[in-house]
Amino acid sequence: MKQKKLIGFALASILLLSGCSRQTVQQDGKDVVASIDDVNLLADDLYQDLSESTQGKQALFSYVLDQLIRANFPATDDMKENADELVENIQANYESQYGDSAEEELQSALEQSGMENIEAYRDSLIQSLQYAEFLKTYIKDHFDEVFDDYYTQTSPRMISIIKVSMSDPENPTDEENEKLEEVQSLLDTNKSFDDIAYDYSDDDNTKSAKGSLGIVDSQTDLSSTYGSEVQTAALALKNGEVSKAIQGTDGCYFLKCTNTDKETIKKELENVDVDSPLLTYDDYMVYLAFNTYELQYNDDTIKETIQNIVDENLDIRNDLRKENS
Amino acid sequence: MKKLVLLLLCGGLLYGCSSSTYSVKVSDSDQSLISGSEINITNKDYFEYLLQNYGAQEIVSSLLTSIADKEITDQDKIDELVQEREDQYAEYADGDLEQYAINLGYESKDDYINNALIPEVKQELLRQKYITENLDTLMEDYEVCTMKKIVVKKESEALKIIEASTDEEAFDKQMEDYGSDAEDAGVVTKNSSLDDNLKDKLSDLNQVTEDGVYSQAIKLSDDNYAVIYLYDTAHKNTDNIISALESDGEVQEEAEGAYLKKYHFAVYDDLLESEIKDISDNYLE
Repeated sequence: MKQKKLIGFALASILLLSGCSRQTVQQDGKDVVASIDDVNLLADDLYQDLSESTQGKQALFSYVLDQLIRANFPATDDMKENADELVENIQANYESQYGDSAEEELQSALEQSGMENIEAYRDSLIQSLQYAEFLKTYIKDHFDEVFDDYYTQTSPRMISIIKVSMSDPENPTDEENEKLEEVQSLLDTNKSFDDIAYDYSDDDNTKSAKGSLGIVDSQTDLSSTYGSEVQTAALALKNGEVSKAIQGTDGCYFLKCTNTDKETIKKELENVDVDSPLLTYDDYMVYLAFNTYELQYNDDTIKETIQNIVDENLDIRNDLRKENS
Repeated sequence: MKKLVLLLLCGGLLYGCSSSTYSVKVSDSDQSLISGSEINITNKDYFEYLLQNYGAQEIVSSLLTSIADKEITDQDKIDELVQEREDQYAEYADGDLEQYAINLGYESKDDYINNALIPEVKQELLRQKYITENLDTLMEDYEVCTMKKIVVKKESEALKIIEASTDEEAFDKQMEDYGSDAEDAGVVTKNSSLDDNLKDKLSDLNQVTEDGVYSQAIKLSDDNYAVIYLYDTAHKNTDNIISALESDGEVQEEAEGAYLKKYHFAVYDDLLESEIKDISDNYLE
């Protein structure tokens, strides 16, 4: 009996305490958000001010796009597992780099990137994967069109690389010079570039793949790993051409352009996965993809705002292509 | 069972006084704005998205503009500052304010002036009014000093500069000799970008009532030494002091908070109230 009374008291407390949640204040039947003496700020007025503001209009497109992606490409178990794996890798990297202060360092890095914690980062990874699915669907449905544009805009080619490591590329040791000369001599023989790469290259990233870097295009970042000279040379080589020795990061490099053939590269990119360059080469693809969804607008202003944002960005895309042609 | 009761009570406390959703609603809240392709976005959805991203800031800004309308009645002053800002911002677009406004996403120059520039100017004049009316207290609280400084590596070198700096002219001569290691820092407050050790000394420097070189060499956090020459200790150059205080974020919040409290600022949504408190503790009682 005593216990029943206590539970009854507790339940009554919940009801009473929930009453401390604020009562809505209204003026002429409309909600008031805030006030100062003699001035009430109505929810309707605040909504109008925000939605008509520049930032509000831009936010509208982001919001609709976000809703479209969430509804059509919900987070799957695979995405969650991928995100967990990435998070675990990052945590492991931080632990090996910072030891006991890893957690603190990681939290600080996350905060600098505007993330509250590792969970928020995991959520952002999942959202990126959902976004990738949204673009992948568009690319698969418009593959020929997207590939033609990609090929025209970014000059893709297949590149292979041989690295001769040097502790100071400006002043190579005798041993390093000797290896460089041997690779140079071998390139003048009929031993293939691939085999030389497999036997002699010091580049751990590509050695086992016989030097293949895969498809390199104008948006591929080779500079951060190999140096800017390598980046420039990779895009300047013609089909079948081998570069001279290029001084780069931690060594000297030889590059070979193994293919620029459109059909070969197209076949290579046919399977659109999350690492496909087709997903990232065009910042404006999102607007093309957005336009493929059928939306009914029940408000003319909202419709006009969204269409203006999409049209303005597609105009910029067209202008860029005219400039590049 | 007692534990269960305690849990229920605690749950009740939490439930009763916190909120993770907005309670304020717009008219026709459930009316659909956009539908199809698996989505249905209502007025409520879009309003809450806008509130989440810009609501708290917009509420404060909107009501500060209303307060400025009551407090700042000198229309000539408003017009003058609006014109000054128009000229200043037009320079960012080769003298074309229309282009500047469009670059920022506004429909036209007039749209930008009415919806951004005039409220901005009114709020600026409101903060200026607070600072002017509370100048003595603010100079004390924010440890305002006007200074020139020379930074050297050794304490002995710093002490020699102090000894040689018999007057402002002598200090200026030393500044010339030290080139980029010397600067006229002008008016500084406790929130200026200064070395931490120098910042700690501001409360002492602020108390100095006669212009001249500060008697001690101040050891900085990077182990260098700063020699400070204090000028305008009588605080006659109020324009410079007001301008420095206007640029101090903490002073801005204090000024805005003072007016919001004076006009009994109230928010009728728990979540928005909490978000406004996150912007500044000064805004709400």
